[in-house]
Amino acid sequence: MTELRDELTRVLRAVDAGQAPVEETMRLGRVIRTRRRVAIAAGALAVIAAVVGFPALAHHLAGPRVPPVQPKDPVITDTPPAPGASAGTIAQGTIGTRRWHVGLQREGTPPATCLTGAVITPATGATTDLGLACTLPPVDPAFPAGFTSFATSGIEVQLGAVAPNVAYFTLKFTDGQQLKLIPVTSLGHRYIAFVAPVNMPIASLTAHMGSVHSVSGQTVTAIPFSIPGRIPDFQAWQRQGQPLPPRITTPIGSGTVDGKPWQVTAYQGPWGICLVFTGGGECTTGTGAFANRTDVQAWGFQPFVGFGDATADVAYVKLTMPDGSVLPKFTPVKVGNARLFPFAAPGNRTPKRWTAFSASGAQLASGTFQTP
Amino acid sequence: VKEVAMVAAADEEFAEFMRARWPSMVRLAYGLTGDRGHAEDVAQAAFARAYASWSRVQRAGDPDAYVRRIVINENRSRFRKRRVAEYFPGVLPESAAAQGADLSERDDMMAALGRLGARQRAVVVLRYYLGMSEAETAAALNCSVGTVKSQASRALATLRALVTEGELR
Repeated sequence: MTELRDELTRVLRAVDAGQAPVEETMRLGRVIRTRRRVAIAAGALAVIAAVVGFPALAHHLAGPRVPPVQPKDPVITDTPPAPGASAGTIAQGTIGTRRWHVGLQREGTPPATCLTGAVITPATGATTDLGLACTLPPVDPAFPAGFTSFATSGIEVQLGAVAPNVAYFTLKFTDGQQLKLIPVTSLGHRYIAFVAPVNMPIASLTAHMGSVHSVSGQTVTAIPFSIPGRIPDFQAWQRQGQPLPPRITTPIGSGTVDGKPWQVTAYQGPWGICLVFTGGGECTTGTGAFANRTDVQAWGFQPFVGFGDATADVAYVKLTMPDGSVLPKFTPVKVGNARLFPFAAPGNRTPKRWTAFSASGAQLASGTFQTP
Repeated sequence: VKEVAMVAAADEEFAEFMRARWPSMVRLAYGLTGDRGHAEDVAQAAFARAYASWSRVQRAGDPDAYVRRIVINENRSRFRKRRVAEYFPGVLPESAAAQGADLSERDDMMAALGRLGARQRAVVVLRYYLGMSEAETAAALNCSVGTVKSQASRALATLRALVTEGELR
């Protein structure tokens, strides 16, 4: 045992971590902070709409059911870099009268790959910097593309690392606009990028399979859970002809905490399962299963409302606050293949521990909360 | 002006904290991921999250533990969200120190760890590198103490077998 400890310590201490990328990390942290604020605003809007009795607005916020005509949306264009574009450019285009461009470049020591870009208003010369991220999009062979996304000044930026077997993508907005996104090679890999107003819902993103030179005729499509103000995730991809999972909206919990009403609603559909709740939202991937869980867990906690999922044998969950007080028990609700338990905690505080019980009251498992 | 000054002071404090703790967090992440590129990415993501909530991290009283927890969570969420791999174009630079005589032994140890599943590897790193107790490890990995015991036992058996059979040489 001691040998293993010594060996591990010796081996890991030999790793030279290099210089800390402080500036890039702080920039990334600001992006995360901005995204949280956007998510909080969207979640709060949805809950307010539900609580004060505007079901039509709540319905609208569910995104995929948004009426298809929004004439106020600006016209979006997206093309590969034109001749003369700066090195590393992946895509450029327009949002109404504004011009945008997005690219990648290596920055810092050790070198990190960072997004560059801007939205420019020609009439005034005003520029919105899009160079806010220094992490690359995730790549998983199971997906046509992995995305890094963020929002700034009401503009959403999506950068996708494209799988080798995709020829191009078509992006459809709910107002009927459609973009063809052609992958461009930058820094040794193929990427697509698009820029749009955050409040412009996206209907679907379709990957046309093939290669750089040919199209196979096969497609896979992601229908995001898209609500104004929340950046859509493209995680669940449906094959051509595959029946789409039904869209089911289920309120799974509500109540009052600290005198304020709270509500959690589950939206099942082709995007998987998304929960919208006071303080934010969380989605999971396509099959509807919150996968890889062997135990009751909780995550996605935001100030005062959160949720967890539980295995089939869990009848209820109790949460212990940092001061030792125990909240009334929470009962999991079946949503798709998951069993979710929404909860609210007083004082804007994260509970300290969860404990899961069987129907007979036997303690099954317990653990501490993961934050943030 | 006062607010701007406070923000600047907080930024400077964070920068100092990150510079001091960066090596230890990268090493922890390297133990968890077995990949230098992923390790730096996980560590950076953890520090970025800490920066995004810096006032809360400071209030928590133990920023080290807080960031360490995020590193563990970041590594877990890489698998949870099925966004496991991240693409690093080009070759990540290895420093001269890492290319030295220890490289072979380090490779062996990391190769052995790499034979373990993600959870077993995490249990080994938390228990035997960070020196956490079984209860602390269970809390960090959000599982029961029994799971930690069984995973540690299996992991050690696997490591022992690998060493005994000399598979790694």
